[in-house]
Amino acid sequence: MKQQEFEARLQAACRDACRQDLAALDALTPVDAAPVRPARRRARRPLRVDRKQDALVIGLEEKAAAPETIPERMEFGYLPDGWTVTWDETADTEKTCRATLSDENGPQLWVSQYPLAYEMEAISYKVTDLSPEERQEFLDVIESQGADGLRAFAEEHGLAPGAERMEQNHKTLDSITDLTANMLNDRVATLSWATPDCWYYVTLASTGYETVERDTVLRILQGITP
Amino acid sequence: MQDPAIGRLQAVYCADYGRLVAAAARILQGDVHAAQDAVQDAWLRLADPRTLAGLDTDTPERLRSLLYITVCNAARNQRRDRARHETPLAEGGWALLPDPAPGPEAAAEAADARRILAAALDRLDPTDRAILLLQYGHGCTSAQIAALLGLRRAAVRKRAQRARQRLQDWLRRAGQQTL
Repeated sequence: MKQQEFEARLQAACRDACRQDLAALDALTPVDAAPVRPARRRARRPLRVDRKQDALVIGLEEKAAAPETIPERMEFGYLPDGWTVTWDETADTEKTCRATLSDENGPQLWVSQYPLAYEMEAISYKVTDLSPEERQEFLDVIESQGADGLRAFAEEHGLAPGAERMEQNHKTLDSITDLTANMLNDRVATLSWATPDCWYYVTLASTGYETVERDTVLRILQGITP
Repeated sequence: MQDPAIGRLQAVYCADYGRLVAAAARILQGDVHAAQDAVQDAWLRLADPRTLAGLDTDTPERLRSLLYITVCNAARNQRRDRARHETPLAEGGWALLPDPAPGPEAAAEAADARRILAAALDRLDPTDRAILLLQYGHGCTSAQIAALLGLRRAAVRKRAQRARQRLQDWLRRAGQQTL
């Protein structure tokens, strides 16, 4: 018997076996039990900390399909005259792109671009100071228990103060288009937002607001593509 | 919005629930609660659009078969886990379960390879049998089989290859032409 013939017969035999299994299933007396309500498996989701609320509020978004590499290096659609971009060529460009944007006074903005899959872990570093073991537990809790487990974890570990500190100097945006010049006050040191493929993290020079117009920062950031 | 395939699967699941629990309970020595857990576990494995992608979800019988294979596997996994923590079954404990191995003589006497194959399939390790049924009976990919049975993809491929080899050996021994 040739391999192809064997495969064809095996396919037929497997289909027969499936039918016989179903006949055996039909012959069984059903157990008198109420069906357990079918529930969808919870996909692994990234953590999103919603800045609009006072306490630590966790939003969960689809994580399963989150890319783990950067599909395309970001570009800056708008740069004022005299500004330069320096790329960190030492970075693994599949996983990270880092650019330093400078004007005549020196570096003003550091923009990092990561695959979306990095968002969850990256935020865990920003929420509070955790030991490596606590951070792993934090990530495990998010994955296995979702938001409810995370709230309990946050209470148990007293993470709320960390979130409050973060509230003051970090802004998480649903989209960079949500950013307004008014949001860029002197306390804001970092910004982050996600796109369907990437997660962006921006650090602003502490002296930046003294020399750079907020509108200029806004236009540069909103000009980032993809 | 719910995936239509999941909706059809849910309808089959609800209609067959009692029988699926009964099938799992047979594997789990009549423990209905454990059987319900196994059925729920099978549902969770199957009710994922990625797992169902590319499979025939329009035919209720195909969905029933997928559910049945997955439920039996989940029940066997539970039984295996339990065996690690509990004392072994008494000698007569399995008496109620059907004998999955019809014996080599019966297979050898069968006239055509398809029947021999069917008999040989039942002699395989139940997980290997489930892998082949999913692969050849349902056209599942190794990734889908891995998701359904809780195995690594590499393990699925290796076990499928070994099971095919075993079937071919049995066929040879049953007097068929050398493969």
